[in-house]
Amino acid sequence: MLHTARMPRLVGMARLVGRTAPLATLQAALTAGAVSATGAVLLVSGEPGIGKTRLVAELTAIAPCPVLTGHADPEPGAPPLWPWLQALAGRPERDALGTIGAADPPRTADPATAALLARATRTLAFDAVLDGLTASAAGTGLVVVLEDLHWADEATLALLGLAAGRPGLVLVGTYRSTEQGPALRGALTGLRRREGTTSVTLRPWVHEDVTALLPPGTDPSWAPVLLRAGGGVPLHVTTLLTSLLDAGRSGQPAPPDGSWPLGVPDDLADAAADRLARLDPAARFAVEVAALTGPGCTPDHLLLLAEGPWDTAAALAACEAAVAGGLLVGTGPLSFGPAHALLREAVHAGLPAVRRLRWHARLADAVEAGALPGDPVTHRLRAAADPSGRAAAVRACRTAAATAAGSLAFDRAIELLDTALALPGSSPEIRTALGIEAAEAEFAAGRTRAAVARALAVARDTTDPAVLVRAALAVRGIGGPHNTDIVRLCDTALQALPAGDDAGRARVLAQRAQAAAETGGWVGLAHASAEALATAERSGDPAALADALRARQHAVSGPDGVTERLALARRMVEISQRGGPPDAELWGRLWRIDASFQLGAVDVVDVELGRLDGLSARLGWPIAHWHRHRMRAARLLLSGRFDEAEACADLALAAARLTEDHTAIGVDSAFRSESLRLRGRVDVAVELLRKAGGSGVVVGRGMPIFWANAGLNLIRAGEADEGHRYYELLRPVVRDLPRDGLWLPTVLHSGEIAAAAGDDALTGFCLVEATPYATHYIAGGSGAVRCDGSVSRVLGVLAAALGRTDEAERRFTDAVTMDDRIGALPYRVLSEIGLARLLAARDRERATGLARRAADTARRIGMATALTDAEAVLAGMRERPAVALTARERDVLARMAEGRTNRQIAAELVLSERTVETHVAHVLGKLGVANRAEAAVWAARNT
Amino acid sequence: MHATLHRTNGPFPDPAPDDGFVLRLVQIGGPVGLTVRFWPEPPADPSAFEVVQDRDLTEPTADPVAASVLTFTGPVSDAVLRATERDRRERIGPALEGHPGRVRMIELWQPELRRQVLLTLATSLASLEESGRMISSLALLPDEDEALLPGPDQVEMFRVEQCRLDPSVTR
Repeated sequence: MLHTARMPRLVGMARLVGRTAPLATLQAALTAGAVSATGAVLLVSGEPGIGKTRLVAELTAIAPCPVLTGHADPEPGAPPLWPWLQALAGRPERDALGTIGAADPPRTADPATAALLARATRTLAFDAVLDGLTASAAGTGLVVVLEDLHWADEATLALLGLAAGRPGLVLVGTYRSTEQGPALRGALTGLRRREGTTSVTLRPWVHEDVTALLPPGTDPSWAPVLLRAGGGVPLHVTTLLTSLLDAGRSGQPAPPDGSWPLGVPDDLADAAADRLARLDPAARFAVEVAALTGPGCTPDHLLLLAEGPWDTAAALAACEAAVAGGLLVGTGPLSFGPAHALLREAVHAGLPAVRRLRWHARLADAVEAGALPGDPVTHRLRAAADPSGRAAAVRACRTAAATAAGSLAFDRAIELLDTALALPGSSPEIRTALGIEAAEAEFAAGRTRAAVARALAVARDTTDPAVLVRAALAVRGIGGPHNTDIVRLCDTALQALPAGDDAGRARVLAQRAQAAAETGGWVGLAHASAEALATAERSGDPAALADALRARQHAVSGPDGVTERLALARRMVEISQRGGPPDAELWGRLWRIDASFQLGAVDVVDVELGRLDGLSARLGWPIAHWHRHRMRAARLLLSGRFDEAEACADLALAAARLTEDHTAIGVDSAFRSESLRLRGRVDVAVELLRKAGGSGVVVGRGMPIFWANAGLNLIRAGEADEGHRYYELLRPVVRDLPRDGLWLPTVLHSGEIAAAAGDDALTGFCLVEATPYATHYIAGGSGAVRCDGSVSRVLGVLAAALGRTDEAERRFTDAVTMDDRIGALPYRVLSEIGLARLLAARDRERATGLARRAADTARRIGMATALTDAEAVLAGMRERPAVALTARERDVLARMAEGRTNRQIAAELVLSERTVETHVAHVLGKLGVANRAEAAVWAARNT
Repeated sequence: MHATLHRTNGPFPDPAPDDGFVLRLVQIGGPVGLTVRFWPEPPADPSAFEVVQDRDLTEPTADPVAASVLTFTGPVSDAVLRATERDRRERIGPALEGHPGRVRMIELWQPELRRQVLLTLATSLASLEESGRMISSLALLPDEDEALLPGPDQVEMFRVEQCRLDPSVTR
């Protein structure tokens, strides 16, 4: 809403006192920010009553551009984004915020997907709001004031953080320095880090300030008395001064001992009571109602609570009288609020309890009936004085918590549920329901530890199988020690489940299988996931089947499971076609792409990518778009279409940004590092990986696959020492890696690092372990990021490093065939170069052909380093001195190659047989071959 | 039983061997000559194949006139191998049962290269072509997956110039 003056009309407060310097600082920043390409952020802090709002009112009154204002509310019933909703009232951007949580939650086979989708909805809404505000700010600037940020929810602070830096947008935030929660501290840290943020902390008044405050005719001896009695806090000092003026003693000297002579007020409650008592009854009633409603008090609220015959005009007049008395301020065209939060608290506390409870109950009824805007929670809580009132408050809290969670305001949801839990008298069933809802909200908010603790607490307090199943499923898909607790929760649920509940049992079994695998029980996953799947099949329940299929897919994600994974993928797709969750098809198609990459079935990958396009268009989900773009990028990279691949990766990242999913950054860096490496920009790839590894946001940076990828690229970039550090990390763990979807790529990359480090033992281990999969292609078995061509190529590298040239030749030869067959041009080029190097000394013709083909392809598709390598192989062969055979020795060799005996050669060349024997010995020696047959082979290839 | 395959470009340079079991094939519409020799013991040639299957088809006693040679260059993975074997056994085999003119099918496997060659002998080229058409129009079985059935890398059709095969020896 557009700002209206909110200045309390207290006596003596017409002028701003003692704030010249901070005001000048803020004015300068505001004026500059309104025309800046990066806007500005102005933060005003200080203790309660210090004058933050007053200072901001002064600042915005002279702002050269429109001002929007919203206030955070301390009440638990305040809706998420409440300050923004107020600030945007009447503007189109407010409708965008209304879309958050408005749609039905999507049905998904994966709870994490639902959270990502909700996040994407919020991001899109935030983008729409900020685009609208930025458009409004163009040219003139726009000021958004968000007051009392210490009460703000996380969503409000998140939007504030995103708004910072927008051109022409000046964000003004006030907060109590004494009441910063973790969310606000985090937000402030982020805001203060950026350029264009100005922070001002207001200090208590000093003697000169109080002196300047005194109206004409006031004896100056009151200044030190007011300062001491009010503690220098402007609100307290002005309240005392008002009392002094009302008592008619300001013209007289203060008591010589400096004491406050009027007995009270020594706290604000008394002062508020004094001032309230001086208002006429109607205005007093308006202030009391506003103390209940907060800043959104309208004449309708007064009409609802009035005992006698009132009309809107009378209610409005009462509000305006209270404004004139300095106890209310206008907060909108027809809305009012207490002049200060401290005043509101004081008035509220001073209301008779019976009346307060009755009023809150009536307000709650009206809100729930839709007769008044707002949220009933606050009123229900304040009216919760008896069992029925408390039950109503619990219901309101649960409803509001569900709404808040739907809007991604998980912090608010948890707060509401905790508030409900704190109310006495709820039944055990209600308390366990509140507990499990809180556990789910904690997990959705990313607080795994708290979520597990709550789930455990719920499980201790109930024997209800349905609740125990929810507790067991509340936290999913995590790594680390909490999985031990999840296994315990699953065991408890399994013991409680009745015999016929196959659906519940299957879901818990699937959860237990995956959690147990994370705690070192990988070996048991195969059996446990099979049991879960068999149970789910008996139940026929789509959700149970989806859970069990996911567990099973995880269990067989290693290279030996490729056939079964294809079957699981087909079933997952079928689930969505039989009325199951629509994202089951998404996962099924992704699993098929992973398996098809591993098999080199690129035609199937292409078909699935086409289906993924259609599915993404139907679902419209950012997570689906992320997957389709990133998988297409992987397919294009495999073909050596680097520009198109990176363009797809850009689209993928843009879609992922909407979901705020940090795993996308890790996936992107893994993809781009390979693309850059193949293009010959391994230096840039290394920088990217360093940034990803050091940023602290890449999920998986502590995983061996990340070490292997980063280490290998560092070594390729010549950063041997840094690469060696990853080798040291990998060395102790490679032999014990679980055979999951990451196992094969990790072992192959580790082998290459070990080869570079001269660790023959580890190189040999990796070679032996990966050799059974020589016919496969390198891709992850569960969430592939890319396909790195044939396994045989890396086996060739490892064998060559160990000096096993025959084996290396065979692997490289296979690799060329395999990569050629699927059109994996970049990897075929690498295979050809590897083979050409190997053959350069003993089969020049074949080596030359391979290197030339590699060079041609590398030049055509833009592989700078590979081109250099291929040309180096060719140059090396040109520079290597030809074998210096004499003319007679060449004659002898030619006849040896034709299978002539020494006697036949002697006869043909008219030489003695002894002389021919000598020539043959020289030829064998110069060629470095063992016998006539090898000499014949050499001749066939080199002459 | 083992087999060696020897290809020539153009007419066969040597006369057909007068001993052992041999197939001499001349490519239809191409220059390739293919000599397949069968050996009871492993020959010295490291590229020799193993005969892993030799089946009579609908007209086992007829003289073959045409042959198809399907080559899976390899290396073929175990997963694909298992799937293709099952595919031939459960999908293609039953579908072609009773199809006229088919004489014999011999499956060769080169374990080092993991390469597979399928030789099918028939009484006419038309019979082979009709078989091919039938196979390509067959739907996969419900639990079969196209990702595991990549198809041959090479399909060649030949005229049978010489066929000296004794069933009792090759299986």
